[in-house]
Amino acid sequence: MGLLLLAACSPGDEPNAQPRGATVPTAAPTTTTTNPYAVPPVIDAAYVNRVLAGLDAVFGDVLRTVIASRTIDSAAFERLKGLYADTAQFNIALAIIQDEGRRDFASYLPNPGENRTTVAELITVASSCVFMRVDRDSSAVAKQENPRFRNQWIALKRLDSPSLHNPTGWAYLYEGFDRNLQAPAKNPCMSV
Amino acid sequence: MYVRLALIGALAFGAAYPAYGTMQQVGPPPFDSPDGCRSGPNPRFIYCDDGTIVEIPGSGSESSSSGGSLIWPPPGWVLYPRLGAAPDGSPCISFAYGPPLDDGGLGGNPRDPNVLIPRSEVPIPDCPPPEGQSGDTNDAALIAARYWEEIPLPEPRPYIAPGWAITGKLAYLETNGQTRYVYSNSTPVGPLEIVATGAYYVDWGDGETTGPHSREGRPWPEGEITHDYIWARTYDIVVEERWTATWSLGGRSGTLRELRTTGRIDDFLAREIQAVVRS
Repeated sequence: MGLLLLAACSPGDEPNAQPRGATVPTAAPTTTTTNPYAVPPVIDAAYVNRVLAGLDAVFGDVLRTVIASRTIDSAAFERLKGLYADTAQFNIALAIIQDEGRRDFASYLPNPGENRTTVAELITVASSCVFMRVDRDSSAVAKQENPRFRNQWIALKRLDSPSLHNPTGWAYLYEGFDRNLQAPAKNPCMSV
Repeated sequence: MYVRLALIGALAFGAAYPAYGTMQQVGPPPFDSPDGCRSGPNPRFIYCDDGTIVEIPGSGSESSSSGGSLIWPPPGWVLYPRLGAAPDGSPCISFAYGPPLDDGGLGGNPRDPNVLIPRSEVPIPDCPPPEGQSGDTNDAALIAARYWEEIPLPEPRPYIAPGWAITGKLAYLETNGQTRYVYSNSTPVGPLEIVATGAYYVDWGDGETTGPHSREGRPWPEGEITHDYIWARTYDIVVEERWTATWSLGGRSGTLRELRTTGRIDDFLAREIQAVVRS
């Protein structure tokens, strides 16, 4: 807002200039910057959905970059890493992208959009970790969606410090399911 | 109920190896431990945090019986280098089994390591062994795969005599390469032999592609890789050689992943010749 005001007051704007010696109001204009990912007093499904959408957006950006360049460069590597609080989970994401890359990304839509992940059930809610069952709609990303993959479990860990690559302040501690497409045997938030 | 059909190798590492630094071990995955699996865009597979890939029945062409029987590595699967992350988050390279490619993978990218990282970047180190594992430096399949990624393969050097073509007449492509290549070396577990076989695929630059050609392209009149250009103009011709290979080492043998080499003729001219009748 301040920048807009400055831009509007160019030297040629004499008719609107304050007369010399006039009293100029000193109260700064109030600007309200709302961080959509600031942790609210009560973490509810609406907030978590907002975070999940933010993570889906980052992943979508990385995916589109990799598909366009046919390369995981260091920037894409770091950006993808910023989504994960667990190296094993990050390695799964890397493995999937590379295996699909070997097939020239044939399972992805030509210009993929983003997953749409929404909370189905909040299981554990804390300011440092949230564990939930989600519905993940990949129809904007994959050519053929397996409906059995929609039901997934996600644990988000609150990051100690903000990341340039991940604006949400949360990262995946767990994402997916077990080998039976069921919930993990242990609640990932119990180890946080 | 799903089929534990396709399981991938994990990676572990240990002692230094003379030619290639540290070596990775690929061993049967620890089935009891993995609890994290994820779907990708392929509706057939899920990927698990122990490096395994599980094929989900009802979603594709699975054929195994159910019940958790293990076929490892699954038939036809080969080792691929893969970009990963070390425990500290830094990038590293490991090897893991993956399903064979349906169409040869990344087209037009010769000798691509199938690790989607620019080859010009600083060499990426091998991934350390997973925690609690020491790694086996003597895994024959892994040793063979590492050599296969490094050895220089013959490249085609295409030529069409006399350096241009005539529209309406067959152009004979000479490949000037090799379709068989044998590599051997001594390793800590015995002599390694890799037998590679190449097949040529030709993009003639006018929308036509031919191949596989299993024999060398030769000049007129015995050559078998020929093409008839219709329009008089220049063409960019790309000759790609796709290499398949088998290895044998220490009494074991197996198949290696496909690699490619290419050669080009840019701005190849096809001329038109007209008869002139003079009285």
